[in-house]
Amino acid sequence: MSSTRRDDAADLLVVEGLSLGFSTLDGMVRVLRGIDLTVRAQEKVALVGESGSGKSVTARAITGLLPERRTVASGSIRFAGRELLGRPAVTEALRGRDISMIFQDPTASLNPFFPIREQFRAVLARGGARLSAEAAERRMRQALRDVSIPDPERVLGAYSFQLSGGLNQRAMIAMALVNTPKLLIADEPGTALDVTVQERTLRMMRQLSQQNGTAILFISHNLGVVRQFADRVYVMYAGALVEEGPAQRIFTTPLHPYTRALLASVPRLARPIVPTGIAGSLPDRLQPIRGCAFRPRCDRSVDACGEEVALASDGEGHRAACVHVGTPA
Amino acid sequence: MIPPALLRVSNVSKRFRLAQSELVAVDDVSLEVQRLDTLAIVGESGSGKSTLANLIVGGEAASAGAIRLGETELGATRDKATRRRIALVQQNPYSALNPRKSIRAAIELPMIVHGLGDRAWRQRRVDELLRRVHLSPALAARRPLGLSGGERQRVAIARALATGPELLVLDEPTSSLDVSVQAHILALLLDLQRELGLTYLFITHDLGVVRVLARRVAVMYQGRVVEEGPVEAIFAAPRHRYTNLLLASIPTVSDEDDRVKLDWPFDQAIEAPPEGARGCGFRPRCPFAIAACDTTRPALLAEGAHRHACLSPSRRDAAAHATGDLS
Repeated sequence: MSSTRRDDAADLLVVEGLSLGFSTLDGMVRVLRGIDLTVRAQEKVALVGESGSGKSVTARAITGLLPERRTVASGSIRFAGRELLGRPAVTEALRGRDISMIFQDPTASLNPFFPIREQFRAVLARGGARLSAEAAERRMRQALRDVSIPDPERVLGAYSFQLSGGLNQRAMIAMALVNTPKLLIADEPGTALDVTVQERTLRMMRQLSQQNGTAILFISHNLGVVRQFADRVYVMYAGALVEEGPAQRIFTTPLHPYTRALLASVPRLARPIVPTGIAGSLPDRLQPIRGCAFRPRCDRSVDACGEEVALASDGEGHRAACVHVGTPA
Repeated sequence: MIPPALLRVSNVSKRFRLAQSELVAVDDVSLEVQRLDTLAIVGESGSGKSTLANLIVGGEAASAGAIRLGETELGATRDKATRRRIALVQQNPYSALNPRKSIRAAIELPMIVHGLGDRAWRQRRVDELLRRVHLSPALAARRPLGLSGGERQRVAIARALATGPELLVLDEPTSSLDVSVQAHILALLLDLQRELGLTYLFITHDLGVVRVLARRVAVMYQGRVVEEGPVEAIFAAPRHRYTNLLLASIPTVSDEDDRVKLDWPFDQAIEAPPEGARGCGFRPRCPFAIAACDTTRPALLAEGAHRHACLSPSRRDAAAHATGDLS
C-alpha cells in the first residue's frame, strides 16, 4: 500500500486501484476491479450505476463498513493523505467527525428504541467538542432549523417511527453535517422519499454542505438526480469505472457506449418515445473478466475490446474506458 | 359517439377506521377508462392511488360509490367469470412469486383456479405465455430464485395474462427495476396491449413512465383526483398547482426535458393546515392560494378534455410552454 505517496493538497479522498472480492461457497465474487477515484475538497462527486455495478460497495469500503471476514481487498483508500484500507482504527476515528454518511432509508438508519435527541447527542459527542447540556441542546435545535424543521423540540423528543420519512431524512442530514465533516458520503439519499420531498431534501443538503465547505460523494442510480446535484460524475459498470467527467459533459456528450445506453433507457418528459434499454445481462462475477465488461452487450464492440481497456481522455477533462474514445461515434 | 367505457369508477370512497379517527384514503373519486386505452394514476405516498387499485381488483370493498366493468357492477364479492376479466401486476417481482414453486406452477395456478382447460392445454398455454413475454419456455421448470428482477416481472406479467383478462391493473410495475430493464418491460407492455387488445390502469409515481405508457393521466392528492386529462395536454399545460409541483420536482436528464418543467418557488415554507380546515387539501403547500382556497374544497371541473380542481390554476399556454414560465 502506498500510504507514503503524496496526494495533491486539494485531494481529500483518493481511491487507487481498489479491488474487492467476497468469498462465497461458489468461489470468489469479484465485486470491484481496480477503482480509481478522487474527491477534492468541497467538490460534489457522483458515483452512478445500476444494481451490481459496485457503487454501494465502494462507499462501504471507504467508510470501513464491510465485514472483514470473507472480504479480500487490495489497493489504497486515502483520506487527507492517510491510508484507510485495512486500518479500521483510523477509519473508526474519522467516522462521524471528518467523514459522515447518509443512507437510503432514513427510518432504518435511526434506532427506534431511542428518541432522536439521544442519537443526535451521541453524534455531537463524536465531534469532540465538550458542550454543556444547554449548549448541545442549542446546537441540535439550530441544526434542525437549518434543515427547515420548524419545530425542533418536537422532533428531538420523538422516536423515528413517529416521524415521516422526509423528517427522518432531514434529521439524518442535520446529524451528518453537525460536526462540519470534510466529506459526506450519501448513498442514494432521498430515494425512499416522494419526488417533491426528495427535491427539497437534496437542495437542502447541497446548500448546507456548501456553507460548511463539506465535499460530497454521492452514490445514486438515478441519472436525473445526479445531473441536478453533481459537479463531476463517475459511471460504474460491473465493478469497474467506465467513464468520468464533468456532469454537464456526461449528460450532453457521453463517451462510453454503456453511459449512452443508460441515458437512452431513461423515459423522457419532452417526448413520448419508448426508451431503448440495454439487451443482455451483467457478466458472471465468479469468472474473471477479460477486456471490456460491457463488450457482450455493446453494439460497437471490436476485437480490441477483448484486451484491457484503460480510461482514456478525450482531451477535454473527460475520460472513458472505451477503445473508441477519440474516434467519432 | 364515444363508446361506453370499459371501467367506470363513480363517486368511490374508501374510509378506514383508526383508533380515534377516520382516514379517508379515497375520497369521492370518479374516473373512466376506455377500452384499449391506458389511464395512469399518479400521486405520492398517501395519495390513495394504491388503495384505489385495490378496490378495483377487489382486494377490498369500497365504502361508497360504484365500480363497473362494462355492464357488470363490481361488488366486494365477485364471481369467477368477473374475476377473470381483471388481473393485477404488483410492484415487487421478488415478493410476488412463491420461491418454492416453479415458474410453470406460478403461471398455471390462475388457470387451475378458474378451471381452464386440461393439463396438456395448460402446459401449452404456459409455454405460449412465456414466449409472449419474451422468455424461453425452458425457464418454466426453474424457481424464481435464479431469475433477475426483470425476468421475474415478465413471469408476473405472464401469470396476469393466464386467464385472458381485459383489464390489467399495473401497480408500479417497473419501480423496483433498473432503468435499462424498465425500458424493456415498458416496451413489452406496449406490445402486449396492442397484440392482445388490453386496457391498462397504471399506478405510478413516475411521470416519465407515464409519458411513455399512458394516453390519459389522473393526478391524485390526499385521496382526491385533482387533475385528469390527456397526457399531452397535462404535460404541456398543467392547471392544478400540485401537478405543477410534481412536474417541477422531476430530476431530468436533458435541457430539452427541463423545458417541460415549471418553476416552483421552493422556499415556500410548508405550514401546518389550520384546525378543521375545510378548503383545498393542497392549500398548506401552495404559494398561489387565494382566500377562497381556505374555505372551499374545489370541485373537479371540465375544461375541454381536461378536468382540474383548482381555484387558482396555472394559466400556462400549451404553445408557450417552451419558455418554462409559470403564471
